[in-house]
Amino acid sequence: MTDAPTWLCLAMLLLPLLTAVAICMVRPPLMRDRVNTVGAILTAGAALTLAALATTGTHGPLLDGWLRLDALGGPFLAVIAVVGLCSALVSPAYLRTAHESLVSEDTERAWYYACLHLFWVALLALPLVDNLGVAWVIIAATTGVSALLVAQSRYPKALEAGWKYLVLTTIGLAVALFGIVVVSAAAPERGRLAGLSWQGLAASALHMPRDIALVGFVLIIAGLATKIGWAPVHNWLPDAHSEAPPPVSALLSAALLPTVMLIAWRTKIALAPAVGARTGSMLFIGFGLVSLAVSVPFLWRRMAWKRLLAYSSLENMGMLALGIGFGSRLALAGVVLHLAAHAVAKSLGFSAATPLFAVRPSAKLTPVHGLLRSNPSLAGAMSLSLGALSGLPPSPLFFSEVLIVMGGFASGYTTAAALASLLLALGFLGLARVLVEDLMAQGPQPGAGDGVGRRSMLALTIVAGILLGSLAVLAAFLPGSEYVHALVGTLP
Amino acid sequence: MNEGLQWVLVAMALMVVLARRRAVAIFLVALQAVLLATGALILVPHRPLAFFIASLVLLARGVPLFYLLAVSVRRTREPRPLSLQARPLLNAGLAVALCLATLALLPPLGLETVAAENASVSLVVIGIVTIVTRRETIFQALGLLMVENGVALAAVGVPGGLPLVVEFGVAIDLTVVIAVAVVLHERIFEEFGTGDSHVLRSLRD
Repeated sequence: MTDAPTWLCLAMLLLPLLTAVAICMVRPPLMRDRVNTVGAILTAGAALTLAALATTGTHGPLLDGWLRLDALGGPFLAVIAVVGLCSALVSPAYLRTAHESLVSEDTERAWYYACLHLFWVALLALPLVDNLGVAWVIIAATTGVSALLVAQSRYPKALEAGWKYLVLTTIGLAVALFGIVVVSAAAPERGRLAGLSWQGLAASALHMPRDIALVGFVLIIAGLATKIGWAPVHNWLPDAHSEAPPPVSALLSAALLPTVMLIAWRTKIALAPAVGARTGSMLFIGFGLVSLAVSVPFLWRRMAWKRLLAYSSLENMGMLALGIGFGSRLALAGVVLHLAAHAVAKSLGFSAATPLFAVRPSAKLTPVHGLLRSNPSLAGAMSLSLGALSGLPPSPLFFSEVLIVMGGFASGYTTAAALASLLLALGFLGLARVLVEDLMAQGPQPGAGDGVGRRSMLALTIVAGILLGSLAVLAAFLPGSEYVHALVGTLP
Repeated sequence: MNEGLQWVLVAMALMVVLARRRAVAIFLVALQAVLLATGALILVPHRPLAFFIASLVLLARGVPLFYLLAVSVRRTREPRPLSLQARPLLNAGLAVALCLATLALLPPLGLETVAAENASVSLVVIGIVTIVTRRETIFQALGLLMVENGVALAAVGVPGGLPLVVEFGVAIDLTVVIAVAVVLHERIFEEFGTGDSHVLRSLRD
C-alpha cells in the first residue's frame, strides 16, 4: 500500500471526486472554474505519471488486487488523462456560451462540473481495473452521468440524443452482463470475484466448454459494441456526439469509446484459451470492417461539424477494432499510435466547436463553409483536426493506418486488409473534400464578433500540432520498440 | 428456482406488453422483481452466505426504482391516452414469436436448468420488444428493468451466483440509470407536453 504507483493511483481516483465535491461547495462561478482547472491539472498529472510507469513494465496488482498497472492499459490511461484535461480546461468557455440547461442557471455550473469529473474518474479507473465484472459496473456507471451531460443543453434534440444514448447503451450493457453470467456459469470458480479477474478468467478458460464460452464471449463483445459505437449497433453515437456539449463530446469520442474497447480487448485475450484466438480476432475484424463500411458514405456527405466528427469516430473505432483483430506486432503498434493520434485530433476538433458555434450558430445544424478569412485561427484548428483525422500525410493517423493494414497482411488476413485499404481510401477522399471545399474556402470578410476564441484556439492548435508531429515521428520507432514487444508478449 | 415461478415471471412480462396503463405496468414489473427476489431467497439454504446477501440486494433495489417511477407517472399525466395507438395483441404475438425464435437458435448457456435459461432469455427478449414497440418513455424504462430482471434470473441460475461486489454494483448502476431515465422523461414531458417517444425523431441523417 505504500509504493509510488499505489499512491499515484489513489490520488488519481480521489482527486476528481474531491474536485466534484469542492465545486459543489463553492458558490461564485469564477471560483468553480478555478477549482475545476486546478483539480483537472492535478488529476491529469497523476494519471500521466502512472501511464508513464505502465509503459516501462508491468507493476502487478495495486490496491489489494482491484487494479493492475500493465503495458496494455498505459496508453489508454494517458489518452484519457489528456482528453479529460483538455475537456476540463475548455469547459469554462463552453459554459459562458451555454444559456439553457437541465437545471437552473444557479446550479448549472456545479452540476456540469460534478458530472464531468465523475465521468472522467470512471474512465480513468477502467484501464487499471483487473476484473471483468468490476469493469462492467464502472462502464455502466458512466452511462448515467454521461447521459445527463449529453442532454445538458436541454434543447429538444439534446433530450432526444440523451434518451437514445441511455436506452440503447443500457440494453447493450445488459446483454454484456448476460454474457458475463454465462461465462461465470462455465467457469470452475463460480461466485468468487477473483474468478472474473483477467488472469482468473484466462486460467478458467482452459477448462470451459468451448460452445458455452463462445456464446458468453459473443454476448459480451456484442453488448460492449453498443457502448463502443461499432456498427451496426452505433445508432446513438452520431446523435450523442453532435448534441452533447463539445467538451463532453470529446470525452465520449476520444476516451469512452476506446476505453470500453480496451475492456473488450482484455476479454478477448482472457477467453482466447476457450474460444480460440482466431475466432476472437474474426469477431473484431468483422465489427471493424462493418464500422468502416457504414461510416464511409456519411464521410462523403456535407453535414454539421460535430456530426461529421461523430462519423469519423465510427470510422476510427472500426480501424482500432481491425488492428486488435489483426494482432500482429505492426498492427498493435498501429493501434497504440492510432489511439493517441485520434484522441489529440478529436479533442482539437471538438474544442473548436465552442468558438465555432459562437461565431456561426448555424454550424450546429448545417455544414460550416468559408471560415478562413473571417477567423483563420479557428479555420486552422478545424483544418488541422480534419486533416489529421482524414489520414492526410504526414498525419500520424496516416502512419497508424498503414501500420494496421500492413499488420493485417503480415498476419494473413489478406482480404480484410485489402478491404480496409479500399474503405480507408474512400473515407480519406470524403473528408479531404470537406477540408478543401468547405474549410479552406475563403468565405466572407470578418464581421463583428468573428474573432471569438482566436488566441485560445491558436494556442490549442499549436499544442495539438506539436503532439501530432511528435506522434508522427514516433511512428518510425514504435513497431520495433520494447514497448510493443512487451505488448505482443501479453497476447495469447 | 422453481420452474413454475420462472414462467410466471415471463407471463408477467407479457402482461406488461399488453398493459394499457403505465401504473399497471409499473405494478407488474415491481411484482416481477419481488417474485424474482423471493425465488432467489428460497434457494438460500443451498447456497453460500454471499448469495443470501445478493438476494436481499435484489429485493431492496426495487424499492427506490418503483417509487421513482410511480411518482414520475403521477407528475406527468398524459393529455390523451397513448395506449390507444398501440397494438398490444400484435406486440405480444411478436414478443412470443421472437422468444421462440431466439430459444430455438441459442445454444445451451450452461445455467442450472434449461428452464432457467429459457425463462431468462425470454425476459430479456420481451424487455427489448417492450422498448421497441411501446411509445411511452416510461414503458421503455420498464423494458430496461425487465431486461435486467432477465439477467438477474440468469445470475440466480448460476450455482455460485455472481460475485457480491458485482451484484451491488449492478443494483447501484440500475438505480442510477432509472433515476436518470426519470429525469429525462420528465424533461421530455415538460418540453413536448407528452412522454411519447415518437416526438424524439428529429435526429436523422
